[in-house]
Amino acid sequence: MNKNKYGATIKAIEYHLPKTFEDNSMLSINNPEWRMDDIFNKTGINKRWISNENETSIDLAYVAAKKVIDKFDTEKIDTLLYVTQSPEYFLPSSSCILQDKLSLPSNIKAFDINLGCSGYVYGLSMASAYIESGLSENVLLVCSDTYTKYVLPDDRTSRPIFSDAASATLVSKSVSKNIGYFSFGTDGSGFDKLIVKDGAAKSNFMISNAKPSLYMNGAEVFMFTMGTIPDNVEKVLIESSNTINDIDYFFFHQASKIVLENLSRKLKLPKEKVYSCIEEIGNTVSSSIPIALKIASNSRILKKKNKLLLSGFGVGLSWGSCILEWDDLL
Amino acid sequence: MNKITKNELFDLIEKALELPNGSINDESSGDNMEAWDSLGHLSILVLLDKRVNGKASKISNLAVATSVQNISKILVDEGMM
Repeated sequence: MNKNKYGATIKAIEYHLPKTFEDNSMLSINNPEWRMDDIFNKTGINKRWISNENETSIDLAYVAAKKVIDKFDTEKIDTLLYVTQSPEYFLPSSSCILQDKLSLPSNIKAFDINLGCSGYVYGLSMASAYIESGLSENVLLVCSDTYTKYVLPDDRTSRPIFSDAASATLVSKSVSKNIGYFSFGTDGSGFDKLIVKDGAAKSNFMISNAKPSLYMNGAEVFMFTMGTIPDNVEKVLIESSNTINDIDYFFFHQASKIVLENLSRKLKLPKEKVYSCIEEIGNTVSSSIPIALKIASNSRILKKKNKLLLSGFGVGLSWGSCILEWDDLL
Repeated sequence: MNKITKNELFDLIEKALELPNGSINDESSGDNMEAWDSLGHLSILVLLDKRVNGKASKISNLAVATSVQNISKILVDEGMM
């Protein structure tokens, strides 16, 4: 294959949620002191999906990925990218386990990407770069996390927000370049603003609670988002010679209602251009953007050739935005 | 942008926390006000950012400034008060 002759396009997106959910009325029974109206006003989330005790991110990922490969020739998938921060093991890579479960060919490239809410945009960039370089033709990008396993029952910052989910996106060789421009950023000085501290090498593989738990400083993560993401979005618009008017829809990481509203305010985006499905899905970390894309596609909101701007941001601190031209899905 | 006054800051925090006029004073903080919890602080940050034309979101220290005194000091240092 000649290098740079081809572009990449999204050919399929599927997702999977666990069977169990928890809505705000259930949350309020367990935590009667929480002001649920106030929490809902900030988060915009009413429902969170909770994996069961023995259900791992790979179990969720398998179902989402199977929906894609059932529509496509498995033998043609030459790359598996797996975005997760909820691995089954420290090692080996979860992608290797998933390759076997999905009966994907053994001549496949497979590796994990340890990123959270920015992971989908990073994954898309790697998928399209592999394709454009001629190293791949069909990349299965799977995102899956079970953050709820890290969240303590009385954690009022994280419990009303995070949901478990998996998504699978098929990125394929195309005559047109539908994915990109990209713009990324990293600020590791904020590594401890959203963190699972215990259980790995820094804590000598010990845990202080019954299980490793998530800590999030909501205000600091919010200020990072408000201070950083509008500039990143403007950068990708400028570099791609687009303006806000050229973009049909903005798909931000579905962090919370207050984040989506204030990003819209700071970027002066028309409300109808900012897609949200957060109320019934929750914050599904790296799957939040592909799930939103799929729901919008199913609802016939997205049309072929629509120009979209995607932006993911969060744990790391890490962020990335890109332009995407929408294509018909399988 | 007009500099924010101390009384304006009091009003802004009262509005963010949905408190009656006169509830906030120089000594108010997240430690002594139930309404000034993490959710309340987010509301303060949003209103403050709107008031100073989006400049507050570039000041990361405001995220952990959970008292009138700390917020005031940061705003003075930044030339906004």
